[in-house]
Amino acid sequence: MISKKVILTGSFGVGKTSIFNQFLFQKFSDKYLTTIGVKVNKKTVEAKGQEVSLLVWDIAGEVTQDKVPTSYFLGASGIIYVMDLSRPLTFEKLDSDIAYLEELLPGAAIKIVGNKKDLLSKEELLEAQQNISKKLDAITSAKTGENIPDLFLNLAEELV
Amino acid sequence: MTLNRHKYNTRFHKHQIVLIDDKGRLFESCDSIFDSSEYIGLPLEDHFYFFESELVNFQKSAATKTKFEKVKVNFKSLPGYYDFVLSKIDVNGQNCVLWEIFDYTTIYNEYLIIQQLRNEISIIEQYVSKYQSSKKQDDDNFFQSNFRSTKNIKLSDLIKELEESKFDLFSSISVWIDKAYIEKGITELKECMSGLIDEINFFVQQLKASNYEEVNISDYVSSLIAKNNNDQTATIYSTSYAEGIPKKLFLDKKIIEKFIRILMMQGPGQEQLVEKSLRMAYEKSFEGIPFLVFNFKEQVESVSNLTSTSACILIKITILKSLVNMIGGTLKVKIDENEAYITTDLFFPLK
Ligand SMILES: Nc1nc2c(ncn2[C@@H]2O[C@H](COP(=O)(O)OP(=O)(O)OP(=O)(O)O)[C@@H](O)[C@H]2O)c(=O)[nH]1
Ligand SMILES: [Mg+2]
Repeated sequence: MISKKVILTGSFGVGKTSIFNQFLFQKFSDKYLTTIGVKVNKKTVEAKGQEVSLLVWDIAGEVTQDKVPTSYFLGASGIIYVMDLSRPLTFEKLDSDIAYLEELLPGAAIKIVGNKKDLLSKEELLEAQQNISKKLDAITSAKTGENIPDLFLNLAEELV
Repeated sequence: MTLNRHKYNTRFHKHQIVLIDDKGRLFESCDSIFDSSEYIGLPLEDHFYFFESELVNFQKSAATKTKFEKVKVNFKSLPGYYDFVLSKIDVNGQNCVLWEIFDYTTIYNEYLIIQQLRNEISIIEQYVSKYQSSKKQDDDNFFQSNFRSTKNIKLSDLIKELEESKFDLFSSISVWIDKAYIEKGITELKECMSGLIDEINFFVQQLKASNYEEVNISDYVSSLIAKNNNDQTATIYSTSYAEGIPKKLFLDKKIIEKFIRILMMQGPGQEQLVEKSLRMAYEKSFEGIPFLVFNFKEQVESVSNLTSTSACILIKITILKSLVNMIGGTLKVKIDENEAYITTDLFFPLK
């Protein structure tokens, strides 16, 4: 079986752990419990007829460049960069963070995700997208589970 | 130094050494943190997903040593927070990996509390500034839609939650909508939180860097090789670990006083009705440990409903409660149903 290391990163409180829990256990909690360091777990999915074991690293939401030790990123094949659509401050460093990740992990697949879709009206969602400097690969809600399985499946397909 | 001697030496330091062979199987360990007997000879990645990717990544990389801090893994034998150090070593021409585990669960749990509060405060601030710059300034539902609603929650229930340490800032924010108050409070809180993070970072650094003792474990590695029926010498390998990890983090008087100032801060709509009383004293325990006692009584409009005044008080108490838990003090909250008072009793050990 193929093993792929996937990293969830982005500012604090954007929903990385919630996406992780929704994907792994189909569970969601309203209560915020911050992550420190890194939490590692795995789930096997099927992509292009192959079993892929995704080793998901849920890392603490810190400023990517100066706070997260580079050892966490070592050997990662996929990156999920999460932003909170309801908090514009979480998209502010998108460009520089992605540039940093591309340099650190050349060849890794990067998915840019806007989360907490359920908190926004149609107009607010449009407005948020206009303020985000890159095209979103997925718009998700860890609360309702919307687009969460697809996010990981698409990533897995890109990785095999 | 033999394997057993190493175990003895590190008993108090919570430092474990595990040797992993070139097939990723657990070969030997000194078992200072967990008992490895049930895993000997088995591929570690079967029990421990971390190694499914990390052993290969590390073997492939040019580095001879790599460190992972604050790791939480899905592995029943390691339930806390650890730092892992992986090093490449050569045993009889085999590319083995030495896995060192440092148990920092206590200190990282404290770090977690502070990071939690700092993040929550920052998130609230972001919502407030978004609210202020939006056209929806008079939309009363704004906060309700962004935060967990606490409408119809009784104050006494929230205090019960607080007692059980389940209460979080977000659960009361929806009624805490006085902007001026939030702004004033947030500025002060953020200052306190960054002070605390600095303090904890400094503490962690000290813990890891100072009082370290270089331990040469090449004898240990040799003893492993001898066990493997081969008399080749091992790569000289030395490691270091913290000597005498301090048990507790103590907070500075200045920081505690800052928090008390916040606790005393006027909430919205309190002008006419507020009545407060405070008793605060620095004392010494029998053992000569200085501590702070503190009794604070504040009036609320109603004990049966949650109002912005009581929500404010609860937010402040929540923050204090987390800190008090962290430094081993006590905090008790009572509500007086007849006279509509919230009383907070605090006991803080000091540096
Ligand atoms: N409404 C809504 N809330 C969400 C969603 N995803 C996460 N949340 C909430 O947002 C808060 C933060 O979520 P987490 O998953 O802990 O965020 P994180 O990115 O892991 O945060 P750090 O670990 O601190 O970096 C929690 O209160 C979640 O319940 C979502 O899709 N919709
Ligand atoms: Mg998290």
